[in-house]
Amino acid sequence: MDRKYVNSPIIEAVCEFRLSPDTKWDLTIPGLIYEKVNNEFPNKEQRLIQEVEGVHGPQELQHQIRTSERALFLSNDRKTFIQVGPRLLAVNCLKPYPTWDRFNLKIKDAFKALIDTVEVKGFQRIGLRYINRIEVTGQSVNLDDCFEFRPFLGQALPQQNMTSFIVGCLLPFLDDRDSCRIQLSNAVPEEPNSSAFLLDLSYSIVQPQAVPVNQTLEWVESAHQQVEKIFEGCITDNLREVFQEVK
Amino acid sequence: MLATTMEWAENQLFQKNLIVETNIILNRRYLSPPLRQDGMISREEISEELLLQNDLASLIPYKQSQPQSAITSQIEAVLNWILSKRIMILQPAEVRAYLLCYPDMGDILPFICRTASERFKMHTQLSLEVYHDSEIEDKYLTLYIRQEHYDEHILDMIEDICVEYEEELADKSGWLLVTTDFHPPRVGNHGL
Repeated sequence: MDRKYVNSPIIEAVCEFRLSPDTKWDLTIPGLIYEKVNNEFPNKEQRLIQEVEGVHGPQELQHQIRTSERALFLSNDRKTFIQVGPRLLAVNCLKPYPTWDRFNLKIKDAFKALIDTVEVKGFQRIGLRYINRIEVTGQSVNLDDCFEFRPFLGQALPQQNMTSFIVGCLLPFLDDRDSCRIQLSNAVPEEPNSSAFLLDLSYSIVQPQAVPVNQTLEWVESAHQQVEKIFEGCITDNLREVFQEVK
Repeated sequence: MLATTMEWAENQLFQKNLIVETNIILNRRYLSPPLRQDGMISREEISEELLLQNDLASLIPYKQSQPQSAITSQIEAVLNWILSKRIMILQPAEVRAYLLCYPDMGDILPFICRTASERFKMHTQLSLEVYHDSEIEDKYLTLYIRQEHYDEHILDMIEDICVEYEEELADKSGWLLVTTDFHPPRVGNHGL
């Protein structure tokens, strides 16, 4: 970790593993994984997840909302948890972010529990996502002062403060093997007379099974390095002052 | 990439046979966003609206059918959406914390807020708060309906909304109460 901040804006970090369709899965697997992680994640819950799914019909893409069940194994402070669903394992870490070293340890533990339980044929997707909520004083903030990644309004457009915005892009990495979705939008501030923004960085493999199972944790480490660089590339020194860098 | 995403989104909506208007501006043809003529919003459309509002660029993974494992992004989308409907959230931190504990409430909250804001249009302020019941150490979301001059049928109207969502709420891990405290609207012009 190159830079550490006292007021880290990270509200959630997620590392997600989606297994390939040829990996065998059954209803006993969440319980078997729980047996291996219950020292650190003793609290178990079930949640129904509503998913919007695009299904290719005979002539058109149809949108369906379906509900699936996920097992959640939560730490005692409920700030870190593992989600296990059909061919899915995700490790979530909520604010306060405990540093990469600690989060990475949880990822490694969860990953070991997964591969000790399931014969993983490959990964359909591996993703590392960081969601940052950035709050700065002032109801009208000049985005140029805060972000190196921001919406641009040409001269022909009104230059008043935007009431709402969203801007995003998908950047390729490592010869298109990986990509990172960068998204910045306004958010609801917690303090009066302040403005808030959501900077969402989602780094993942593009092609299913592009990373061999035995190199997965190395991929996670390098993905984290890329996300760090992208985050630093998105913000200005003004924000670094707000976050208070640990020297 | 964003333009491609927008084109893709427009194509999908077009394929769904929603009503699409074609405008001719300066001899160029543009597709304007499709609108439903009956003014009704379905669950699917709200989901799309949330996706479009807070997850525009994720339409590509969305296209590939990859549901999200992050929970905060959905909460932020719901809060943004509620505020865009001019519903007051005085303590966003409390509402956020509640939704983090009971994330499935985010599935139903926009629908209840939408219904309430449609039924109470004029001279009404809607305020989403977390109610703390100290006697039984319980807390739940509360959508307060406040008016400058209280309508004599306000309790019946509130009851209608509660009945409408009672069954769906019973399946959720948290709770939301639609009510009024007969107080005047708080400072600010939300919904008035």
